[in-house]
Amino acid sequence: MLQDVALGLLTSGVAVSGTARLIVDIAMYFGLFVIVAMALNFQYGNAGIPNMGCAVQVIMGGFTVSGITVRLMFTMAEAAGTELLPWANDFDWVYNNPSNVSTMNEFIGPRMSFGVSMLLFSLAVSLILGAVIGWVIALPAIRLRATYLMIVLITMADAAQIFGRNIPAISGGTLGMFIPNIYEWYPGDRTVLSAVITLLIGIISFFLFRTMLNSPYGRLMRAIRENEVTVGSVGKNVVGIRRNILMFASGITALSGTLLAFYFSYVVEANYQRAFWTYWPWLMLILGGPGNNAGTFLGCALIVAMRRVIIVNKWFLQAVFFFPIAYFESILLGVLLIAVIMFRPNGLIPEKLLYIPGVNYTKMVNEEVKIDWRNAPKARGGSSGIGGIMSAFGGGKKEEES
Amino acid sequence: MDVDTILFWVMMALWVIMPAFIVYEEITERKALAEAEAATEEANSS
Repeated sequence: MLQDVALGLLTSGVAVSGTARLIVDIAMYFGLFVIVAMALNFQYGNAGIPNMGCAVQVIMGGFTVSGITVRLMFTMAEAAGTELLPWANDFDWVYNNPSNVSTMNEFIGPRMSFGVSMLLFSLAVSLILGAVIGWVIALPAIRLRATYLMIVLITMADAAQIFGRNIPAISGGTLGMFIPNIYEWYPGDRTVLSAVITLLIGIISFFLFRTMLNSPYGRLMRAIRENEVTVGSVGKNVVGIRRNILMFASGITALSGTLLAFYFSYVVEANYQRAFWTYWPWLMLILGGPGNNAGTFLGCALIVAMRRVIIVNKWFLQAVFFFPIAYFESILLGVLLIAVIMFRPNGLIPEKLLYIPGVNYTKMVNEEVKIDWRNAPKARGGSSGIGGIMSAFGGGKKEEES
Repeated sequence: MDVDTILFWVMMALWVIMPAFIVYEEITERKALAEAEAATEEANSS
């Protein structure tokens, strides 16, 4: 009985099948991974922060839906007069979840504004919580050197999963939990709508990152990547800037976790594994070429298409390989990584020099400077040279008196 | 034509437009960089 309910919840509103199903699936994963890979490119490609904890931010997005949005939905539905089974304690929260979610789907069906507002609420909260988790990560880790920072972030990704596995109130523990279908009002296949929304958010994220990178802050990021000691020596707060970058990118990364939760209508910590949400985006970035968005997109498109085709056609591919096909994906990850690092260390599309529209560097460099430095106003006023030093120590007053 | 088919093609359009725009921008920037480099070399040689 429970199995039928579970299967019904997972497949509700899914009508597209065959090749179209595969295309929708690839588009959805492309949208999700492109958000994560662009955020990673923003952090590593442009600021040199090796974030090996992308999974932490993605899992935060998923937990936002399962831990906060679902509770808010239940509370609002009960306030509107819908009768739900008890869900206050951990046991009821997990075991009454399928029944409550089924009731919620009936509630959302005729209320489009409710579904849309819950989607927007989840995205906003995951953006904030993603930034908060970025700040939390930055606290102990940001002062560390690259290698130690990577180790700390890998550990945090595992820690986030352990929290999800052992605290049922977050995401139903090891059983996971169903999420009400916020697209229940949509008359067609919810996965197509979900893919469109994900791709739209991917485009918005792209323009956000693009604007950031073309701004003076983007140039500061690149300067930190090249030599943080020099940037620090001219008075910039390197630690603060790195923390801001990590927070901003973490917020954007968390959006993909939220979108995945609504796509599956199900959240379990095992869906947010470190290998899946950290190593694959890293491979996309390294394959495409860090430091430019075109490379990130190319890497993302190639890897996602390859993975989905392998997963869908495992049955046919098994006849060709002598080893279990289940390992093929992991082998592919390793082989591709080694091949790219050996033969194309800069990726398929190497990073180009910085070009900012409207700024003519040639003119700036060749411009004649007509300033008479002797008559130019002093930055701190007063005199210079020995007199200035004397005045700084109180000797200047005597000079004026004499 | 049902809603799914329309949305499916909207999805395909988004999927094509996004990388196409990025590739266009990349090519434009590389071209502008090459022009700026050529102008610098010309200025240096003169």
